[in-house]
Amino acid sequence: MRNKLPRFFGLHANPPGGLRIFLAVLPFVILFAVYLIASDIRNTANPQDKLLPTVSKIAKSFQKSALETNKRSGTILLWSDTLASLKRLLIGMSAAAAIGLILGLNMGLLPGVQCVGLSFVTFIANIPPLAILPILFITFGVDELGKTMLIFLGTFPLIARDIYLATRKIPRENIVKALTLGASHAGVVYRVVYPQIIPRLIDTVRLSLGAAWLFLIASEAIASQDGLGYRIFLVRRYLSMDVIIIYVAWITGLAFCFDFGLRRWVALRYPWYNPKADG
Amino acid sequence: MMQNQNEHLLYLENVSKSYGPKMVLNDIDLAVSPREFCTVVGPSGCGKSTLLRLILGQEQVTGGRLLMEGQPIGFPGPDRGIVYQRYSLFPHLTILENILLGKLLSRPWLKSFKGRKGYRDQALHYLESVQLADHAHKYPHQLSGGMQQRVAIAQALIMQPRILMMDEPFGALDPGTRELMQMLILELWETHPQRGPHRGRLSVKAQNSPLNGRKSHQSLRPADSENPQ
Repeated sequence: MRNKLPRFFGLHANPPGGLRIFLAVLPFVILFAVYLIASDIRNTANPQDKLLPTVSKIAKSFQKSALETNKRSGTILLWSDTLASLKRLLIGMSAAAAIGLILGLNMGLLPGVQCVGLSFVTFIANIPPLAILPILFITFGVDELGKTMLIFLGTFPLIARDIYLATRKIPRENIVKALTLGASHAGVVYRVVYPQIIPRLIDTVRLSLGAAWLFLIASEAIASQDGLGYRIFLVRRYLSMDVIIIYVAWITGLAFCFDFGLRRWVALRYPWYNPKADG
Repeated sequence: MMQNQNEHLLYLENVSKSYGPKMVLNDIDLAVSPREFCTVVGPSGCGKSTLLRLILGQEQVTGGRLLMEGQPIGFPGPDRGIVYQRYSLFPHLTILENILLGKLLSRPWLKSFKGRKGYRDQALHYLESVQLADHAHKYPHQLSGGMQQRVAIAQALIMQPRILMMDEPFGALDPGTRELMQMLILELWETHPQRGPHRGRLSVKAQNSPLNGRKSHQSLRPADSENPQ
């Protein structure tokens, strides 16, 4: 006789397809429902309520910020803010990924570079980036460079250290083997280990994106003229929860898409990286 | 032995290796001629792998002399090939690319794009000689242990090393596969072309069980010649 697998409870649970989707959607539905009820209660008591705007109010301000051109700036605010923020994020993260990869790779393989770099990178990594934000703004100005530098300084030590650890984990045999196949020292670093490390780099960048968003929004909140973080902290002064909710949902959606996209990219492009996934 | 040390492909004299106070190899003498098949046999922990690492140049001797064709042995290079029990293959390359890798790595990166076709055919030929031509485009993790080791052998052979070393190459395989692999090794060793006069090949193989050394020209037992403690 076959064991009947439980649908939900216990270690052996094996929820069928439909139930899986229902369970995944359930927390979102609950959150949404709780919001609707709470907002309805507050708005019936006080139609001017700012704290929990109704869906229709949110839709109206979505119309205003995402679909209509702003009279003062001549642009659609949500898009121009998104563009400005993504530019900062992209430049900062690309620089951090490139420098982190090169540093981590060389520190992991070359003992000389490790002696020079590792303790210094560890030192930099322990400086709280937000604490030196004033220094960055004074040194690099409150324009693009200061913000990009904050994102860069906040994420590159983490990437460098993670790539270093991943490089150290490559078996010694693999490296000696490459040497017996005629690889030069640079060949081992950039033709044998580098291609093995790339998916790990993408993973690390993916996980660092959360920190990068934090630094982006923090720097935009303090000194900026556009950007998603700037807008949120601007409309906060007028208690415009409707705009804030739209922007937060939009940022979350963007971050989720990046995460999902990078994960899919690794799975498709580097099938050897997580062999269990396709087995 | 002293007078003809230059004739030997590999010549070890009083070689010892210690890690701090711990002596691993003590007074090892070994002379191996071109085309000789030499097996190192002994219980685990007696220093077989250390000996191979010394010959490979991955580690340096702490006493004695280690010569290859009369010259002190250098760092790991294409004149000495190695097949490990694991980690011989590069996980991010397909089987064909793994075999091709040596041919490409030994040239500067920019020049490695030229003549790839010729190398490809050569790599396919080596793949056929280990009976894996059908699996050229799979990744190592998609192959069984025995297949992976056959790829590793082809990968080392394509470089035509002067010495081919194998460190317990079939230790992780089941007895039936191991038997087949040993026959394959002997077959490859017998049929493999020499590269002109004096250009023979030596295989040094380290393994636990003496049974495997039955066809070798000489077996060396590090445990007999030294006291591991």
